[in-house]
Amino acid sequence: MRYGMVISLSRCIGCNACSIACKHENGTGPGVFWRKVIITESGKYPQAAMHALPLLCNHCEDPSCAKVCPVKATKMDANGMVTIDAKKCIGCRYCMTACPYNVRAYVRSNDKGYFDEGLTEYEKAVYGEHKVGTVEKCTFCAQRVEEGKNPACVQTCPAKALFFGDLDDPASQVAKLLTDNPNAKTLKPEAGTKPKVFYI
Amino acid sequence: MSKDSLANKMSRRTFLKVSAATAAAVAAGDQLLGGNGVGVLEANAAPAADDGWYPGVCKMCMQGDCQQRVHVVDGVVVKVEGDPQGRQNFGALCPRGNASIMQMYNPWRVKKPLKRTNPQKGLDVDPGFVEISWDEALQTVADRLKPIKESDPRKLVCVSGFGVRSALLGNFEQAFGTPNDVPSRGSACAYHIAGHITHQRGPDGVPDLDRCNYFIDVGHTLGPNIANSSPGTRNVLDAIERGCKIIDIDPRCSQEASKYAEWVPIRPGSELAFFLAMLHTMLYEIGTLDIWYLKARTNGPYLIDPEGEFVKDGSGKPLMWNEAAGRAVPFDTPDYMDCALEGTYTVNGVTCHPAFQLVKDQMEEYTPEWSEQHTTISAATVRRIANDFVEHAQIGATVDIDGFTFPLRPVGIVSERGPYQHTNEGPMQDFVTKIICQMVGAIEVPGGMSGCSMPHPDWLKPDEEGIRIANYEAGADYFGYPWSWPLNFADLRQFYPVSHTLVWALPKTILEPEKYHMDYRIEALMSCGGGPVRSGFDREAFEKAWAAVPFHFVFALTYDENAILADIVLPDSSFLEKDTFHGGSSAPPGHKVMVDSSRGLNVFLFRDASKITKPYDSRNMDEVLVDLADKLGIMTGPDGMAAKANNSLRNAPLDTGKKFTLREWSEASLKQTYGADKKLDDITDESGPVYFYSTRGAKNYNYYYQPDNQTRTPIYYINLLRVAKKFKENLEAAGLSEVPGWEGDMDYFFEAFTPIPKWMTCPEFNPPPEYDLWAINWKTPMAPFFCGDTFGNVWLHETMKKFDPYEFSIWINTATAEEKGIKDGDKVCVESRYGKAEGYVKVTELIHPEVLGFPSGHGASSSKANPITAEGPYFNALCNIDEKNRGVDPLTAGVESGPAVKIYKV
Repeated sequence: MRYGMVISLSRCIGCNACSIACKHENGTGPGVFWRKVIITESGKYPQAAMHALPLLCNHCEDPSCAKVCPVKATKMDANGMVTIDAKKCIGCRYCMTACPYNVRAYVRSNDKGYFDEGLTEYEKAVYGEHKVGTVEKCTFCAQRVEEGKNPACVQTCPAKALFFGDLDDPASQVAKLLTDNPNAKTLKPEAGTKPKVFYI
Repeated sequence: MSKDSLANKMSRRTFLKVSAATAAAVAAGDQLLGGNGVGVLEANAAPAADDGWYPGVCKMCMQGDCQQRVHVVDGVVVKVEGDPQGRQNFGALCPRGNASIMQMYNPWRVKKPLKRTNPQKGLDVDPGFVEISWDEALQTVADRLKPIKESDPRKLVCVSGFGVRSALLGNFEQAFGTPNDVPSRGSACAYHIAGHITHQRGPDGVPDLDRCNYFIDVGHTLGPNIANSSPGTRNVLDAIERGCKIIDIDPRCSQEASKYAEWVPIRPGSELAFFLAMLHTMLYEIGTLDIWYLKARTNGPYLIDPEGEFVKDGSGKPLMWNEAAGRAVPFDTPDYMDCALEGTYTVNGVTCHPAFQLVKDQMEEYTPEWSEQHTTISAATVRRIANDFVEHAQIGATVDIDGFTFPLRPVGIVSERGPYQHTNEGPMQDFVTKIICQMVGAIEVPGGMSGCSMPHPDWLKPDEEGIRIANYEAGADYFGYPWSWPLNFADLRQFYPVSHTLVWALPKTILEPEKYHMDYRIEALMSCGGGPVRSGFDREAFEKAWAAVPFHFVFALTYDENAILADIVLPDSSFLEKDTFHGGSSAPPGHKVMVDSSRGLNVFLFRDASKITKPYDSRNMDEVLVDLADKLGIMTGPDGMAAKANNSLRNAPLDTGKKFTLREWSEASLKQTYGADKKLDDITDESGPVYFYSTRGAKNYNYYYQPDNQTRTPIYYINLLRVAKKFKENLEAAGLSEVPGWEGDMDYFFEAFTPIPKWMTCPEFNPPPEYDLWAINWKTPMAPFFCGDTFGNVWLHETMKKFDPYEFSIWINTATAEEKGIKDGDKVCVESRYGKAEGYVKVTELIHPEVLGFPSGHGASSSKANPITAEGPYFNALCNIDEKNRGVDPLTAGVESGPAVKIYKV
């Protein structure tokens, strides 16, 4: 089993619903985005176009982040997800430097919220789950996947531009999409990390 | 460990500890004061009992019908998500819906009822708010309203907006006796009238995206830039994937347009010229028209006399000219195909022409070459698009659905905010798009354009003249609003009889009642969910007017401008903490398409908020209105608020002898439409919503109910001619020769009240030379509008700031920027003849060289609001609502919002 994601750039409308769904699904604090959608443009007027590029952990087959982790906190699970064991992580942030995709976040605190007046009831309820001094990132919403659900970003996508599933299962939607789109791309293939997030 | 289990780890004990600490800190005067300096975080004394997922309905936008699930832990909402069982959103939720948690848990909210202690009012004046109890607040309001109720209830004006969808406000107003319900939404939505006359009930024309193959999208979104978890977004992308060709005609290029077949930039205010030329091309160069549709289903063959009226027989039936018989025949002749669309005839000594002939004659001069000078779109492009449109219409094609044979016309056109928002020119171009669609028969048939209300047997029913009955603002007797004199309505709707909304009129009638022939003065103002000070296109005028009203109470989520100017501020609950229902059709406005999943869909969604602990001392506005009605003595009896509510609850009426609860009212609403056996308790997270389809298959298309020649739509908009005539008679009877504010300019006032569209320019189209650019404004995916406190939401703000360099900027074309010596990131001032807006430039290829783009509604704030709301350029400052500047549209009452501007660095 190898969980992976296929992102249809021809469907993504750049609304960032996924980015915000990720925030409450994972209770991340100010400034922390485990995923995001970057808005850009290309071309010359009037042959110009606007683009949206969703970015998240690529759950690489050959993750450079795992290689540099001195305490083996980052590893690839049997299902293909690249995960971080917060109990082991010492916060050295080598992995953040090694990651070619800049999608990891360091937990500086879990008691600072969005407002000067202190944490709201919501923030009090969720920030404590993040261990200060560790590195975090997209988990493919493992907690949801365990329950048979899609990651929060996939479910919430208004454009149905995101697809998640087992790349090894030829019957899965992601496998079919990759079969139908042999030119599917990954980010920075030259880094040799073999991402499992594909763009079509 | 799963996130759910982690969340559940937080025990009630922990929560109480936190709450106790909060309370202690408050007692100690710690820094737990709200950001605005008033109100305190409330300690929650009564934690909720049950953790888990609860059903909800998202109200972060005007559509408000996405089914939501809410995860509650110890009374705290920790997650929201779209419900996969939802028939609108199928598990999706837009960025705003996802960010709703931060709307609720927001220390910048109004946390306690407040009263003003400083009698001086102004946006920069400290109101001196002090906290009061709910009892004192409501008693104060009741004491102020009682004398008004007894003297003249019209003196109370209620201004509502999309931010709060108070279903009971109308019933409160009726029980109180005021006709002055003035929505502050819609002043930029002057686009309903052509739809209301041409289609079914409207309020909009939408494409049949399941079948449409060629679509022209004009300054409009099919979904991604509005309520984007509704069907439009998914289905427009599906349509593109199956090969539907979409052409975007717009001064700027969006994410959505970037996925279309083509972006065709156009000069603002010239869309009418483009469509006149397209129609010219179809009539004079292509010549392939749906003759059957024109003869059987339009008023094209109706004979028109020199006065513009129908030529009629002795029984009042409009006549057509039967060429085979050589005589005039009634419109309902079975030989309609023998009737002429062209020619000159004499009937009873009157020279007359078929309406089609007159439309064709009017279009003769509007060649593609003529339009090019106005639009900057080449004549060749106009011809290509016109040809593609006609070719894709497949005139003559049919499709069988459930054994019923329909015409199949898979083409459509929709215009919206951008092109509509030009005085006279805007609504006129919309009528042309309707005529173009009728020329190929693409109205209310599969593949074509339909109104966006649910399909219904009555919507295309004809009047005695054989033409479908117009509705709403183009409604009964051709008037959206009945004439009355002396002036009854404070928003001047008598003077704008087919308009949409007129909140811009309130500052005028408040400050100058005599000028506008008001025989009463506005003495009390209630506002909720809307920000006319911010969105009404003249901040200073609204500030002055609001300050002049003797008593103003407001239902406020945050300290917006309405709140700052109010005497009593009633903290409204976030929708997440309200028992809320949505019970109705899937009809758009926010849904910009008609697709199979939403046609005929009736759905009842309910949020059970009983397990959610409110963070602040807020209340549901509807509940407060019930209490207020009770205090005012207008709750019970035959004219009471309960009786008024019963007008829409005939199947499950409330007891008119007592005050009702919101749950009783919600359940009655459920039973009314969905059956007496239905109960709110049956709506759970597991059950999903209550829904049924009132139509399926063939009945999804209104053509089914009035097929063949059983009804007609107008290519000759006689309604407008008749409205103008009747309106002039009414003015004369009132002793008026002119509409107040339009003195000396009445020819312009009536210019768009014409049955056949013609070229006319908006007041911004030929400005003084120094104003060498135009400014435009549009909705964006993350911040389409003010409702839901979009601009004060920290998650939305953070996401926009970090990842979208276009959102808070002023767009300028690269070549224009170079010409003016402006670089990306420069601070600039954009100045119109009416105001200025400052901001930072985004140099881009995505906008017409003559245009400056202002995304969304950023930049308006108040002295006690979260400062993030002040970020970004404030577009509305560039517009105006002065009749002398032709700042408002006489036909639709929309505000001209494509101002001519200049730009310079600051």
